[in-house]
Amino acid sequence: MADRPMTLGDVLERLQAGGLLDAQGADGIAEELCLSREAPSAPWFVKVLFALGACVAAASFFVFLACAGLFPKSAGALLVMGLVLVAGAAALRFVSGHVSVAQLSLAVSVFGAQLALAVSVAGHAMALVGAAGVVEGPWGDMLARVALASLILCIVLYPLHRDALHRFLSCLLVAAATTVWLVASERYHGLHVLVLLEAVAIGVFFTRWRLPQVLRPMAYALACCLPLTVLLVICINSATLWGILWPGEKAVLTPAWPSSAVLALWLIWLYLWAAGGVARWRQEAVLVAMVVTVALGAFTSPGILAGGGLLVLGFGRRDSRLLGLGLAFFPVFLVIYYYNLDLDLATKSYVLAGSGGILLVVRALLGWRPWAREGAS
Amino acid sequence: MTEDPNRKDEVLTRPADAATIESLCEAGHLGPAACEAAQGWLRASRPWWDWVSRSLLFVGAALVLSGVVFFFAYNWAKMGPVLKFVLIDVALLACVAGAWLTGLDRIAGKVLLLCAGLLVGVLLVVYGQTYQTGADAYELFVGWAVLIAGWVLISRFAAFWLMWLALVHLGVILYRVQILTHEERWPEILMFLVLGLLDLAGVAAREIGAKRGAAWLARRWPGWVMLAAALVFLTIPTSLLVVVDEYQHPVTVLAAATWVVALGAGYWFFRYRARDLLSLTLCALSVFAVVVTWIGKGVFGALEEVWSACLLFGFAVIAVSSGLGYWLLRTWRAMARQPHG
Repeated sequence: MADRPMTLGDVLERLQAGGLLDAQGADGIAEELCLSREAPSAPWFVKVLFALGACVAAASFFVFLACAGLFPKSAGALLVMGLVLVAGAAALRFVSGHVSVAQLSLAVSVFGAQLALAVSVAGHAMALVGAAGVVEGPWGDMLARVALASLILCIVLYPLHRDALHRFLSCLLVAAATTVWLVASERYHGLHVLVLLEAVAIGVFFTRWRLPQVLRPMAYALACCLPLTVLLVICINSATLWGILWPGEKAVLTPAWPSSAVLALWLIWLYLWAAGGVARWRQEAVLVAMVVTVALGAFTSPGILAGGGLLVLGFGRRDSRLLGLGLAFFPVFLVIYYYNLDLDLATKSYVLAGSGGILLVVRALLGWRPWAREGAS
Repeated sequence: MTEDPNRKDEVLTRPADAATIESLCEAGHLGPAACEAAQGWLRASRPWWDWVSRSLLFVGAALVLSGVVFFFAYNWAKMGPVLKFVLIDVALLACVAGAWLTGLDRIAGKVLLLCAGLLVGVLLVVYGQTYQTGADAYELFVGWAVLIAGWVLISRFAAFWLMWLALVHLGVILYRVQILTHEERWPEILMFLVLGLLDLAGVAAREIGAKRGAAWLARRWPGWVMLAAALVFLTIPTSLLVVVDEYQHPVTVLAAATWVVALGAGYWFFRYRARDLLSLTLCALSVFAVVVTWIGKGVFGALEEVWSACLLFGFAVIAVSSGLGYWLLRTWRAMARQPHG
């Protein structure tokens, strides 16, 4: 293993040595990298500032419309008004993205994008409230319409509203609305289907050789949704946590094993991707990882698998966002798992220390394997 | 065309990541075969075992320590105090000896010393339980922090430093809760000010250490954690000074002044010296919180009708966040154009 991480220069050199790139192409790439460095797009933490501003502003606009008496009385009119605002926001985003007023272009573009985002968020809220109330019916049906409306809006607006943050929030909204619908209409088993869809989509997006720029917001939104959905599955599965979240309510139990099975298979898929393909499954390190994953799937919570999967993806892709997500959720799932164990404090202390001890012994034993020594050298 | 060969070198020595390779594929610079090969090399070049080994060490040590804490939290009635102390002391000595034998240059040695630091806390708790010392909780944390300060100093381990800082924070917070008066507002603000200054001192220490070549301080994340905490602790009193009349006290003014100075120094340092956009964004978020609070107070206080205030406030929020975002983007582009010194 090299002492330093592989650089872009190393990649280009190897591509040239392998006949996959000529010298002219390598020069072109170096130029491209210099240019992209000079005009980089907004990093994720700046987008957090934009999202924060847009959400506060959208809430203000929403209250303004309500207080000014501009809220239509009928749900249908509310839906239409919401759609008009959403369409207007997409148009504003398009215009602000193409305006060019010399030095002001970036400022105008940023302000326009922010305004468009805030108006779109307010429009989404109106449209979804309208969609919920457009037909009288039970609570579950109303939420189903909200989920459907958010999905349609996402599909339509994804190519039209050309803003990565809008795309990200739009996908997040679909997953959130679907989750709320599944829980409110007591279709708890549906959460496992949602976990399956999210895991497969994340796997497809991040393990393919190319993730197009346009699909990145969707991929990261799904990566955020997966641990949250799994967290919900665990909460529903645990009478203790259910009692904390909804005091006095009767616990609704749904088995966690379908999600565990899905995520164990997902994690094995990621190992094979990290190892370089399905053909590498016979490698000892991959076999050990697969056995451990099956054991984790059988005896622990699906959250540990979800967090582990995000860590593997983040580390393999050298992607700090995925790695950060995994690092944020993995300890949470670990704590929840041990908290949920139906054991007295003394037994729990033995289990905790014992499982920690096992991990340390496993580390020591594996450290002596040839592939580990080679990897650490 | 980029003619500067230094800039080209600088770009080509950056660590490769999947997203950059994907962007090159999308721009048509690399064909599918080249892309697939590059992604494969990238994955294969990652130090997987190092990473797994470290993860197993951290998680394993955390679980064992949690087990120890739970074991003593169970408060065994049947176990005599001598046995309890012997068990903790043996574990503590084992950790210290392990750290000494392994050496503090290795991660295992550092983790063992951190475990020893945590076991000192367990020892103090069991001591308090056994002898009913009547000490306030803040004394436990302050005493704990003082006792392990030497180990922290020699550990060269950022996680241990952060744990130590967290103990000091808990000591300060509990001192405010248990000792200082609750009838006036200023002790609360004083607490925020002290916590903010502590974190700022931590940020400064990390930057100085990194500048002097301390390899264990090379990673930026401890600095981000401390800066975020410092800004939260200083933003709260500044926002309160703007909004709530009861907080108009010299201590609050001092906290607000510290906030202004910290932002000014932060801008200069992270813009021109360390060139760190995430730190600048944290500063911008703090400014956003205070300015939006100030505008909100002004708008909702001046306009009688809620609807007009909401409309104006919404536009003002967009203007503030756009302005800060615009400034951050321009700063980032300017920083990207300058070669690293």
